[in-house]
Amino acid sequence: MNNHEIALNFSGVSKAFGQVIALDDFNLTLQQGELITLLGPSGCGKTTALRIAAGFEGPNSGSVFVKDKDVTSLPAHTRNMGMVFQNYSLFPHMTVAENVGFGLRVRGVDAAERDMLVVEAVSRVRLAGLEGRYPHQLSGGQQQRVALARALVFQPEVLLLDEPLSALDAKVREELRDEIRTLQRDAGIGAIFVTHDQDEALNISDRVCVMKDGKIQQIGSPRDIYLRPVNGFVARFIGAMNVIDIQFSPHNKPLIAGVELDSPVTGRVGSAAQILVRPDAVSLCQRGTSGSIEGTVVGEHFSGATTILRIRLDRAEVTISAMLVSRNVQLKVGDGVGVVIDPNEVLLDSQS
Amino acid sequence: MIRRNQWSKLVLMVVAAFYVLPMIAMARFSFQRVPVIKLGWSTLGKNWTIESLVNAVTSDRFRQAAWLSVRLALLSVVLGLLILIPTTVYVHVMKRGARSYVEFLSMLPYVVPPIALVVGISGAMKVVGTWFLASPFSLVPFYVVISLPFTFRSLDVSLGAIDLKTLVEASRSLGASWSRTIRSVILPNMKVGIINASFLCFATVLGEFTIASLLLKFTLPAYLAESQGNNPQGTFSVGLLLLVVSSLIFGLMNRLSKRKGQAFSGLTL
Repeated sequence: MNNHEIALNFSGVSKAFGQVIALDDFNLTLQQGELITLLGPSGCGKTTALRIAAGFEGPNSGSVFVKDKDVTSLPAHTRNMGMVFQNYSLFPHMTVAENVGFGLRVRGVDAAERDMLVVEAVSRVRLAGLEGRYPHQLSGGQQQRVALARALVFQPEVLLLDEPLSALDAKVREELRDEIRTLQRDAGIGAIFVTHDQDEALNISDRVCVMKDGKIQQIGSPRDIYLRPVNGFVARFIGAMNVIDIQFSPHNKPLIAGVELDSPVTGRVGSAAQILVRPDAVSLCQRGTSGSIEGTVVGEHFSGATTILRIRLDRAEVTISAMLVSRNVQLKVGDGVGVVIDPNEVLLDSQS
Repeated sequence: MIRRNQWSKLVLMVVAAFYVLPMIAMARFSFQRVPVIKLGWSTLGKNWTIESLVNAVTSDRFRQAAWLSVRLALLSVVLGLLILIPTTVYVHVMKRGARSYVEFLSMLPYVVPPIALVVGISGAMKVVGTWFLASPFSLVPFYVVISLPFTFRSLDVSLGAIDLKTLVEASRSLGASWSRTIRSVILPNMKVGIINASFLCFATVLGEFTIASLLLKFTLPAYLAESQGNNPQGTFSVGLLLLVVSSLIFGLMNRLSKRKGQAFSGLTL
């Protein structure tokens, strides 16, 4: 496998539906063996991009390349792409084996080889023994595994996944997410995964492409996207975020409730702005500790391993969330605390 | 107090009686050689014979009419399916928004009386093609139109039960051409709808009288109308036969629909 070989390339692709611009000068390169997630809110253009890659929609301008070949005007059935849909999409009149073997049959693979490949593909998705069942005899997770086997069995150039986990319950979703990643890595093919679930995107991807209004906002590794968002939209869309009103001090540093943050973020003296701080960049200490901002716990959201505490600052109309390890939390609503913000994790909100 | 399921049984029995009693009356009139005035409990088992039916179905006039009706029915089924399958698939896959318009069009035969249909079309055809109206097969397009409410809905329901657009896209992404997709994915999933539509169209054509009569074609219903004066028992026996055959067809359709786990096409029979 050559990891630097281009599997799929969108070059200046634009698409409008009437007056609505779905994709605006979309450029993205998918490497062989790489999994890129297209992430964004509804209507951001992520599914349109996927459908253009699959050949179900044609772009108004721009081109789509598979490896070096321009496939922009090729019909869907000649593109050799495997696709998994949100709502299973198994052929209801065919058994599991017939569904998985459909792509092979269409390609004229002889029956003996087809049977062998189907058995292998079905066992790879842990459904061995269920080859004779019909889709309605399978659970949602099993159906999506069959769809995955069906999309991979003929060794497509690219794997396209259109919100494949969104119809499943949380536990199955997590299991299948890991399986998709493993199967895609083993197959060594490039994959585009469309989702609106940020956790899913951060967990499964080599790179995440955050989109808004048909435009790419940021492409980067999950770590980059989470820790170094390029703008307020990305910062807000990925993970929880505190948005805090500040003023800049005489030293051009952010001033929160009278406490100056020694942060790389700077601004004009006296000007107002908003800064963005992840809840996990906020720590708590004893009230009155030097350099801390005084506040009172006003809310607690327990979510297993971690707990989010909501703290209202005493000298400002600001409430900050702090994410803490649940085992270490001994505070309760009404307790006074000192809030410490990691100055290196502060971002200036470009939207403010 | 009568429980709810008992009420259901009662209603079912009343409906069954409404349906079966006239059939029993027809059967007694047709197959008992007993004067009508004496048909009662006391003569229930007397002089049953199928002579009237045999006489009717072996007559040349009957065979001529029946053969024409069967051919018309088969041709109407074929033409109807050729027009409606692509139309229904198109509105389900490409133009969902057009579905309501097609549905509206399919309902027009309910509101346009057959006389208006015949007068309109025959008026137009007299100018451009009298040969069309001269042929007994000129009835086929009329029959396709009047069976539209049943045929379209049957096909529409069979496609509505599945996510056809996604299935088509899945098939295409797996490498199947349009023709392969239609053959391997679309048609197998429309099987029940196609069978239902065919049966309903067939039954509609077999029983249609008005248009055939207006266009002076000698179909089975026209034969029944003609012969009821000189051979009432034979006419009723043929009518009863048609009714039983139609009922069996509908029963078969229901069984097929249930086997596929689909609701019947939503038509009230």
